[in-house]
Amino acid sequence: MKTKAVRIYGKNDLRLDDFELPPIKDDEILARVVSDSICMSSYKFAHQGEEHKRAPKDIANNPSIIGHEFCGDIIEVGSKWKSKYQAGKKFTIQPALNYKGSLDAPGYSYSNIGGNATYVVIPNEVMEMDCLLEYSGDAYFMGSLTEPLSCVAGTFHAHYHTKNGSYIHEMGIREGGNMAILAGVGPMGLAAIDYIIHCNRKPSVLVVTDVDDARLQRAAKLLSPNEAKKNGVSLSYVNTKNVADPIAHLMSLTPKSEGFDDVLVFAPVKPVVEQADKILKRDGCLNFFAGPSDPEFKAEFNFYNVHYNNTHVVGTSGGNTEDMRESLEMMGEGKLNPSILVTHIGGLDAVIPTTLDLPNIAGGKKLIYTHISMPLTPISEFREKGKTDPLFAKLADIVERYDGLWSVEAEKYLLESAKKIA
Amino acid sequence: MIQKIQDAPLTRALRLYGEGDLRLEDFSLPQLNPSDVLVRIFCDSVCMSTYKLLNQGDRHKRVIANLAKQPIIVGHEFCGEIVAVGTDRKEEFHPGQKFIALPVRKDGAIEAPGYSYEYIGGASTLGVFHSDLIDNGCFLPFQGSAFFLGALTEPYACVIGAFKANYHCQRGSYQHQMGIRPGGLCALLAGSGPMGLAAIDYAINGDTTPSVLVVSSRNREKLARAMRLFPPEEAEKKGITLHYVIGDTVEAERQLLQICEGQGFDDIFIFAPDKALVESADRLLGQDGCLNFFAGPSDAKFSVNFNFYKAHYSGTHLVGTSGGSGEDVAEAIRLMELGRIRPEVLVTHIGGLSSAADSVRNLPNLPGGKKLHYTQIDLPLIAIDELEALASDDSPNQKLYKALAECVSQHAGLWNAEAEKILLSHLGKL
Repeated sequence: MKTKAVRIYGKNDLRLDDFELPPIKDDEILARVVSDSICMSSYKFAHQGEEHKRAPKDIANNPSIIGHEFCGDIIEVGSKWKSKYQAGKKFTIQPALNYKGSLDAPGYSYSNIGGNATYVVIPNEVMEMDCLLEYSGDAYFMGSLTEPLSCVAGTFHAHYHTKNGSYIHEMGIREGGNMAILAGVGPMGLAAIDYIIHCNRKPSVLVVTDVDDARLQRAAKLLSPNEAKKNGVSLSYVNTKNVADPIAHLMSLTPKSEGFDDVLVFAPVKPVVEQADKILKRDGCLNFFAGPSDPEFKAEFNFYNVHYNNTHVVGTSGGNTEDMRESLEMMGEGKLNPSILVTHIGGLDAVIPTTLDLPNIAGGKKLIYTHISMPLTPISEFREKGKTDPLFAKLADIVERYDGLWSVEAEKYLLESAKKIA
Repeated sequence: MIQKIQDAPLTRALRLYGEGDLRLEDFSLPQLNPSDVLVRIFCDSVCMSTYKLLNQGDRHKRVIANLAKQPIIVGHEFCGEIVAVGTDRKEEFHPGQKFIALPVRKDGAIEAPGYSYEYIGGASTLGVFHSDLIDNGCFLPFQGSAFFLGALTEPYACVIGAFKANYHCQRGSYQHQMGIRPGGLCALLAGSGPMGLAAIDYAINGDTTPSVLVVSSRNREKLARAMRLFPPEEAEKKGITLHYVIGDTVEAERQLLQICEGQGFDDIFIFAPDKALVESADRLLGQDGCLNFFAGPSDAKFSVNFNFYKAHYSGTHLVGTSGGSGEDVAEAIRLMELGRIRPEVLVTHIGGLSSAADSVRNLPNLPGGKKLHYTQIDLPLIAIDELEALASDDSPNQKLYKALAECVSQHAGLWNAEAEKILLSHLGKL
């Protein structure tokens, strides 16, 4: 089977390759990828090349397909897995396999599997670790976004709190407590807000900060304080640039200015981490969600409070299979709307420039359909592009019917009508 | 204010009136309420936390009242005997019973004996445990053979609690495995002080042991003593490779890295509130490494440049404890009774109540380990290893020192229950 895939050969060396996939073995599965959403981790990977923790050391000779948030169709199942998986079904993948303690993951460590490809061979360990999940939804893009949603679900599960006189940690956020999400209106931040106001273990106070008014306004429209209130969460959005003393202001949004039980940091920015530290309550849990590129990334952390006030730190990078199942379930129940994450659409030929320039491209998730050819295009520009291109005109019509959001209908139309990749 | 009540017992106690202001005073205790217990304190060991308390005065977080108006009695590692029991507690306790104090309240409130109370603290002759402290687990009956062992259960409980508070993660699961990594690599930085010794003792003789234990210190003398007390050959018998590393932070880090072959440590305990040391520990943490900041700093703004890249990608994490729980005390007592841990090795000096104030004031500059103060007697602070020399002086205590020196030499140069008995039998003769 021929495939077309974006592979990494070293630092900032991404190539769109055509190559022949090996025939599948008895314990492997052949699949067609339809959609892949681009994660900041892939940008970091592109930037770090062989120095990345999940990268094979001989990446120059053994290039990895990038992209790990993907969804598609199962084409052919090796005999070992025939009773569990069937050709024709949709699938998504939980990339953090943890196979025998290895960090290897699809999208980082394999030549023949990754999201930015037309066809892939799913290796045995993915099934072995129960990381190949059947997806029964209509929209491929939602399947792709299950992975980022699972990272979000998982990160909340990794929080913990302590109890006086006990050494058993209570896992999860403080139920009914105070939570802050700093730099929280990027795509992952929005997913975090969506999850935490709709899940089963909620805070009572949620404060979301950013420094960009436009992004804050979009967030407040998509995930409104009213919607949060219906779910018992008092949600407020704060532009920390517009207040004289952000720390005092954030504290004032908690009862008796007591501070926050759970603080999540969604940007690997030193002052933001330090701000998080300063607003922690006793036994406060700081979750450093955003992984930095710099292995020497440090921030001042108050160790007096570590000693006397039990403040503590968690960091997660990726959810587990349970988190993916939870996300799939919540999506199925309509509790999570991953389309709010999507701001750009492109084809497989848009992957390389998009990945390499990701931090400089505004907006939320960049969604790639791997069988089409299309430059990365902001959804907000469809109408304008539609003046000269009927495809975009029709897409703009569909998007407008869905409050400006991407949808299964838009996806279907795009897959039928867009130019196929050569 | 101290109420003057007729027939109220008189105590002599070391009280803190504010930053740097310690006074040894006689005053009356309040009359016993029906659910209170009156105690006689025999032994109080001095903790670095009390030195910090002295230097912070009202700023200390455990100080609640205005010290100038309501001074508190210092000392939180103490043991003694019950003198009188309020009518409501006759079933629970009886006079003559030994007790120990625990400076951690079950309800999580910040107040603690030795920091926050007018009528109870270690550096005193008599004190009153109010009902609320008893109900919060700060007063525990004790059946050990010596008062000093009772006093030292608290520092051991702190160490036990710290070891239990460490945790490790499993990839793909959100359940924490509490405690140090069994068979892992463990480092005790600046670990030659008394708490460091207790930690070495517990790391080797507790229920969960590492496979490699490294103790670093910049104090050659203290480290040499630690090595004598806990020789690597003895640890080897328990399957633990024990290393002692001498040198400043940079040199120690170099050696520690060599020992772990660059892989980093699973558990690191820091026994001095020193920034460079914490940053060094951060660099020494391995995958899923747990950094326990054992020593509490005085400065509420004490901050350290912590590597969040490692926190995110390698799961390195932080734990801080300040004090053990009732269960930790129970474990300390169990291990003592089994003879598995040896609190006596911590002790290097003994004194009476009158010398306690100077011990607190000068603690960071005093040589050796734990200073025990026997509050019922009057004795200058003397080093145990100088008893013999003192016995040959023409001092009024010559006979006592001679008896003590003999007893100590029969116990490998260490303080012991018999020595304590000899000392206390001279009560009133000093």
